[in-house]
Amino acid sequence: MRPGRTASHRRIASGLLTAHFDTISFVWIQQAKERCRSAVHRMSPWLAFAFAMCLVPLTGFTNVACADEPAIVVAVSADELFIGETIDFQVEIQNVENPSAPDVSALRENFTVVPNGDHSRNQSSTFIINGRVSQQSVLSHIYAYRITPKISGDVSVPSVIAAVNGTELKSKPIPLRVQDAEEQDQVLVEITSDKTIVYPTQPFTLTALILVQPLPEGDVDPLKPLKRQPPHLQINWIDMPAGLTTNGTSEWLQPMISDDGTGFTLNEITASTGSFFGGSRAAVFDFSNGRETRNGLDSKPISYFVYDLSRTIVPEKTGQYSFGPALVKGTFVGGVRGTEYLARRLVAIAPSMSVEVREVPSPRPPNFTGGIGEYSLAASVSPAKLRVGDPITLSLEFSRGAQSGSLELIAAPDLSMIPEIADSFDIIDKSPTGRIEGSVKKFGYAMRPKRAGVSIPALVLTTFDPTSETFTELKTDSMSLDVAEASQLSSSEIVGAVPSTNTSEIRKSTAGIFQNITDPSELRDERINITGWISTVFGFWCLTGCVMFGVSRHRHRSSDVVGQRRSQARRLALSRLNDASRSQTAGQSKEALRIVRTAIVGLVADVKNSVGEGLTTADVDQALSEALIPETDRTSVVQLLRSIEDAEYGGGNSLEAASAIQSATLLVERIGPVLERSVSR
Amino acid sequence: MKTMPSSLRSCSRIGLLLCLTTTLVVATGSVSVAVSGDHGPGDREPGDRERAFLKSLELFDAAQTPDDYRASARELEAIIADGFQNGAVYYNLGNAYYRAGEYGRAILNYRKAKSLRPRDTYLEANLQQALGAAPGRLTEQPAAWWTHVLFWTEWFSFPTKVQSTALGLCLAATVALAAVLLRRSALFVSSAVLLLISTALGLDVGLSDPSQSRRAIIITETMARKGTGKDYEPAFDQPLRDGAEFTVLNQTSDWTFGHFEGIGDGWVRNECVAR
Repeated sequence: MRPGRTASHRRIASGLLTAHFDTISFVWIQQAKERCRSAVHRMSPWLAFAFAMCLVPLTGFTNVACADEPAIVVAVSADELFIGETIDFQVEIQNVENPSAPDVSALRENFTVVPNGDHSRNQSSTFIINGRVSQQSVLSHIYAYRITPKISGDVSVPSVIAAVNGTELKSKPIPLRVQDAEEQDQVLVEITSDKTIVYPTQPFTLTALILVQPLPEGDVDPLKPLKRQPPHLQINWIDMPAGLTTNGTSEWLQPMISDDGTGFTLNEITASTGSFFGGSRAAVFDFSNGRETRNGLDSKPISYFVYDLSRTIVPEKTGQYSFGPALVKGTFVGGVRGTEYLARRLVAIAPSMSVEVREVPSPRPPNFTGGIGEYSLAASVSPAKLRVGDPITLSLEFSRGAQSGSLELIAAPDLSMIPEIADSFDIIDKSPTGRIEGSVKKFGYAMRPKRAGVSIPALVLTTFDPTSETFTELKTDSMSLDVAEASQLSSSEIVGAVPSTNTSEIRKSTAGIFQNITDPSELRDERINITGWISTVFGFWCLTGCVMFGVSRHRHRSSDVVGQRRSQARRLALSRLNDASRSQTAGQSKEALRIVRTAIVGLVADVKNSVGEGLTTADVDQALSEALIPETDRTSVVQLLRSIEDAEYGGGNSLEAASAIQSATLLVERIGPVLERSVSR
Repeated sequence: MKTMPSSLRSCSRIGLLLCLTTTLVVATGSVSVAVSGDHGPGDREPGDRERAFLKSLELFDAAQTPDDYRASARELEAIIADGFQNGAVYYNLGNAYYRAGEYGRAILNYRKAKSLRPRDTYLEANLQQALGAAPGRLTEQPAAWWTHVLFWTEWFSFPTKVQSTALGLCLAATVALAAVLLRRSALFVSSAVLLLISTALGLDVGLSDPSQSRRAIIITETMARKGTGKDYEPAFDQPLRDGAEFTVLNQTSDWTFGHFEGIGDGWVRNECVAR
């Protein structure tokens, strides 16, 4: 069993459950103890009792807490490393609920220690085997650290101490072998900064410079043969300490990702493999930046390949910031034997360096704006022609130089401290909010002249120059104003007045505002009732749609010959029967009977859209049968048609034409609608 | 059966179309009259607005101090108090507030006037003047993507947009009806084009409706907070000043939560905000 696992494989026979289960169930319950406890707290005592009574006979399970002795176990990710190299150090406190962090102060003598988070691995598992229940609990909390040795040789990670329930748990020391980097000139590493003393918000650039000796071939990148196992660079300014800011890591490193896998891996930065199954591998970065010649250990010049990794950092707080050591580790090409390269495992370390962020010195001039670095100042005023009491806007624009501090530092100068301005103007807003646009910060002061003839004097403000460490002055030109007495102008005069200028070129005045609209006829109500307009459009479209639908329907009907024949069938049959009546009245009985037959056969033919002349009595009978005409009507129609045929071709006098017309009229009225319906069905 | 000559049939179709269109136009006109008729004069006497307008002009011309300009603005505010909307009144209000040194209110009224008088160059010039003078001006909100597509709609005032949209849609319906009656496929294409243009204009109406605008402006200096109470921490390191425009995200009876372009979000008291 793994150390730290609570050996509480406890089997408890309930005695109440006699059935045997052939299945084996494993129930894992994370943080089961906490959950049960909180659940029981929420239950009423009676409900909890009833719940327990139900649970016991069902599972044969009784929870009996059992815990092993608390223990502390430590581990490191490597037992042999180079000086400056960082490894993981992990402290696991077992069989203690919510332990406090261990005391690792003993490590700080020989190591740089950086906490790397902590997490709980508490686990509870229940086994149900043939109705027998056993429970296993694991209590474990892990504290992780990143440690970097300060000295070389055989050193040990000393004991760490954890306080548990008033007693102290002490870990075993771990032996470590820390190697010094050998003196060599094949791979060199340096940490440089363009400035070692800066002031808040003044950016500086930190660079890890790596120089690698060229291959025997000369111009080939010495990292090309190392694609399979690129060398590793470790630095400690990927994550910035508090008080320093910089751009995002992705934004910084993304452009440097190597396309062909030649370069360096960096800290623990990984990249997606891009494969379907996912996963990640160490990202490779291309830091190459030309060549540089330096003397080797034998004082002979070597044209090194240069790789550099630079980052611009902006300090926010004063203090001493240390960067490094930086370490390059990997297998490099150490020579050539025949056609093969000789591998040489190397470690190169750059010592750490520090950058000091200083406070701007005191005392500071009263007109100090807060700017650190190189700035330029411009001022403008609008309008230049106005009356006493009219508002004017004085704009100050600070433009930032490339290596200067943030524009955020620049505060609105207090113009009321300048006597010439305070005497001549009412300053409406003494500390306006600055507006940053690109590399310019703008302040707009609203002021009113107190009397006629005043002007804006030259403004002198100071910023701090970090190079000379002195306060430097920024000066604007004085600006003349044409301030008239208030009573001499009206609004229309302001608008209509042509600027009295002696210059030959007339220019548009951009200052001031244009006059009011004075025409009362402009006073129409411009409210708009959108809902009303939407309703109107909707109604219009509905109306148009209805008309279009009606037109289309009408056209469809008028082009439907079959439909028209069907709809007119009954009317035509009745019309024919009228003709028959007229023939009968005129004494043409045979003709009348023939027309009667035509009327009935025609009715069927028109409804069925067939040729009437070709229909026999049998065809009419079948058509009526298909149309589900009642049997009595069908028989009457057939009998009438046969009587007419008999009268026409045989002993025809037996059928009276008048009665035939009457019967036919009744039959048409009865079967007509049924026939029409049958077709539409 | 006798058939009607084709020329006569065509004439009868055109006649029918004219009759129908006339009916539809009359129907639409009557509805429009009904639509516009809901803006009743309220309880104002005829000529009240004109008198208040002229009085405000007199006050403006005679003004010597910011309070005098505020008096002129009060007269104009009274004109629009009952929901009356007029670009000239908003423009003059902007001028009065500008002269009174209340740049936030000036910008607000110029912007309201702009939706009613979009092609007024004086208005645009005055708005830019007020924006330049406002001490609290923040970074401009970037224009929405659709404004680049529907840039041509900026030539029309909001009421014109609404009316043009409605008329365009009605015209599209009439042309579609004509296409059906006269059996001309070219008219269907014309109807579709009209429908497309009117829909685009209608889309712009929906997106730029001033009554649905979420823009607001700071009118007096105030500290934005991280919550609805003075005990909450300031949201920004400096107070917001007159003329800071923002987008309203939420509003309670006392506080407004807004997005201030370029600096972030914060709560401000309603009395420091104008919409």
